[in-house]
Amino acid sequence: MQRVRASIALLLLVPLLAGCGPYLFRQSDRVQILTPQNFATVHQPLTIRWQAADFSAPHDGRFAVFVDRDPMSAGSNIADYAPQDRRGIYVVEATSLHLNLLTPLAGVDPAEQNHHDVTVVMLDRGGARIGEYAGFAEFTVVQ
Amino acid sequence: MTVGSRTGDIIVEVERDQQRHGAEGRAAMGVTGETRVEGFLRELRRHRLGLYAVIALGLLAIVDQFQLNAYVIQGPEISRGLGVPRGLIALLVSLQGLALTLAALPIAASVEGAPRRGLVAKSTALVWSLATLFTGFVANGFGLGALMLLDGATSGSVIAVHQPLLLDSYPTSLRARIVSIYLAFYQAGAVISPLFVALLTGVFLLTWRGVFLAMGGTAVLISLVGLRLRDPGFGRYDEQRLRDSVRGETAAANGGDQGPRPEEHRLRFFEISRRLLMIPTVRRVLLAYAILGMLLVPLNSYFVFFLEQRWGLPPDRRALFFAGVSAFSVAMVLLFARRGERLFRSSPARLFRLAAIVQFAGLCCVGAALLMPAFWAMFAAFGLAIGSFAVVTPMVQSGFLSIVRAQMRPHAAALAGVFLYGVGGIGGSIALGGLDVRYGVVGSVAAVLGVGIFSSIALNSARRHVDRDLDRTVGEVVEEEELQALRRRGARLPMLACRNLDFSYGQLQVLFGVDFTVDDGEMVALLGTNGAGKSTLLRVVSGLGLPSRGSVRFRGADITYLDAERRLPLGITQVPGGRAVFGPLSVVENLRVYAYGYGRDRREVERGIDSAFAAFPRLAERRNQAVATLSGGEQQMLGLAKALILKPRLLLIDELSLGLAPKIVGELMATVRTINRAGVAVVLVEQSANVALTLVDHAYFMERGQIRFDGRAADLVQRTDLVRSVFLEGAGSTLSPAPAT
Repeated sequence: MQRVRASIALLLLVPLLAGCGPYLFRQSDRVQILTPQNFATVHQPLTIRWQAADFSAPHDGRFAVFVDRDPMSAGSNIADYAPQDRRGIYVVEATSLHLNLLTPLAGVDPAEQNHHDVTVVMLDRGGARIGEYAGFAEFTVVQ
Repeated sequence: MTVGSRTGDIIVEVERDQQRHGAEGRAAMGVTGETRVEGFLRELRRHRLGLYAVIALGLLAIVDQFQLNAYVIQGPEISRGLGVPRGLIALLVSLQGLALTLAALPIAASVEGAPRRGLVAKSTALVWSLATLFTGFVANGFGLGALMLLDGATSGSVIAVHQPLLLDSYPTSLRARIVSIYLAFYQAGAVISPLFVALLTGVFLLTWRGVFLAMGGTAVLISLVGLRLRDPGFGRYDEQRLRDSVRGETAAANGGDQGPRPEEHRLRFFEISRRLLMIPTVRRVLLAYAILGMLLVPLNSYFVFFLEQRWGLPPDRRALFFAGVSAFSVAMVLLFARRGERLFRSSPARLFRLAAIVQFAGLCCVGAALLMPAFWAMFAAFGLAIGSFAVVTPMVQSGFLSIVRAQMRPHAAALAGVFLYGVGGIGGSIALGGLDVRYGVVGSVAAVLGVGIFSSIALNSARRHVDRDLDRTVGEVVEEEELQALRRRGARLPMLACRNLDFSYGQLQVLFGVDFTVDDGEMVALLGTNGAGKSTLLRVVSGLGLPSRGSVRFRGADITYLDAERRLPLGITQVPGGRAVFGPLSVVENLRVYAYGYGRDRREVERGIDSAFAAFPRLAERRNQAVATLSGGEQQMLGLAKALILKPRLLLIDELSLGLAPKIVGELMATVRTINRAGVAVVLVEQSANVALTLVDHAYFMERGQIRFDGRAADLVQRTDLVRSVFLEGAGSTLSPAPAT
């Protein structure tokens, strides 16, 4: 009987592990990357452009652009990143970002070294990520 | 064996019955020898069975794959959504696989005592379905990891429970086909799951959270289909049938009275696992699985790179490619089902040979796929390869699980999973990881194929043992029923009955078909030359060694594979050869160690120690002296004191007189006689016949691992051809066996 009770208690813990929050269950194009297009081949220097619906910077907040790294989770604050850990993170008010040089990625398969990705998320005025909305693109850079 | 020996009466009768029931027993286990296979549906109708169990378990096997597929396919989206590193996503996949593999073992242990496989199958399915659903709500990496592990751990039931449950849900005439249908469902899961993800993301435009929610909800609904799953009982269609057949004959002879069964000593998890690993077919199949795991796990990874580099396939096309290959597998498994059934019924050995050939053909197809100049030819070759590997699984599983006792099948299935995914998969990833950097993708796949050939060789070697192992399983069941019948007929079963024991130290066999019995309160001598196997036989009786064949029964109950420490409470105690003492400890400390069997009852321990000192006053004088400083005779006294403390029912004494002066030997033997007079059965192993035969009235003589004499001690004395080697010179003429005690 004790085992059954323990199993039921464990089962009830499952939702707690899952937690709750402002989750996105349907795909949204609220933030959309315009250039480069997904899976495009581009030359350097390059400019990343995007658009966001129902959001205007700096009135509503700013954008955080993550190049070759994963963004923070919804609700997290950009200030949580230590200064030395901000490589590849750009916080901007405009809807574009100009990159002069993307260096080949280290520690990956040689065929994948020039394969990059970019993620754009929205931050509120306090620097916290708004929801799970994100624009994302993968592209290959011709060296 | 000597004609008219007491051992022969019971054992010969059991062996005769085993031979009589041999063919019948094989037929009950599904090996009828026929090559004709009845139609599937007709056979189902004949047994008034439906497809519910196989469909329900098949559906559970499909939804089991939802979580992992959704996770792997949407890894980048999950990583971006939760802000967790991609390395963690990959790590969680490995941990989930590890949890799945390892959890199969405790899940097998959870069903070993009672038939509750149906309950375990449906409850775990409900848990993993909820875990999939709640993954849609995770807030961070910890929650994700916990749910992945929960999913993996509960999925262990698919490995440990599903197939054993199916085997007991359908008659043996459908066995290979039912396993094939179930595995076709499983393969279908590999097609359906990624397509379901594609549908939810591409058509219904769900995010990764939405996908988990939809797939989890679907999984919960489908798992409700399994709510009517019930455990039909262990071995319902094979062991039970065989028991009924044996029992039917004997019950008819006894007017239908079944009588009480002897107290059963149910094997525990590690005892069952160890017992399984002693079966030659099981060992070979597990080895084949381990090597196959080394092949299959890296093969898929390397082939992904091959598809990308050689054929330029993007991720979505690669997913479609693997879905197509899995569809190929489903078709091939279903096509082979009838042929597998025919082979299983006619000869499991042929089934294993075909499995080895098909697996080898699969390896050749992978090699061909690497060299194909056209894409569709490459697809066909790879599809044939993976289809061949899929076909091998039901063939091997139906043969492999059939030679194992029904209650041990969950353990056997779990061990197969551990060897395939754990030893093979993880070991292969470690051993073969990084090959592509050195040899390129094609070179890596070729290397993996080379390893795979050994798997086919191992499978092929299993065919040499499978018939014998099947007969052994049949023999065990028949023996249990026959002994029960003997009991009912009022036959007196010996306290200890060893039947047909084989034992090997590694490759060196030292016991050959040994039959040996001891009655209540009896003292028997076990004589033989040095290296004859006397001490080994004692080790098998006390549980320190496990036989590769045969049985050991104590008061009618099977204790062949019971751990030594579980035999102690039954009353079996051994005084090992040499000096059975711990030299650095004092006398009283040694006695306390012997009293381990009493547990924490300190008063009982002290009472036992007092009785030992009363029997051996010389030990009392040296109670705090280090045992290493005692004389040889005193050390043997201490060893014998173990018997006084543990109060055994059967005392096994190995070479008590070795290296001692005759006066000391006389004193020790007087103590042994006293112990025996108190009602304790004693087996006295001696190289020196003139010592042993003065005490006993029944003797066994062993030579080269076989019992050469089983009869009255007085008769053995006359057999100078046997005992010449074990008499001390000039002592034979003084021998006079003691009266029976």
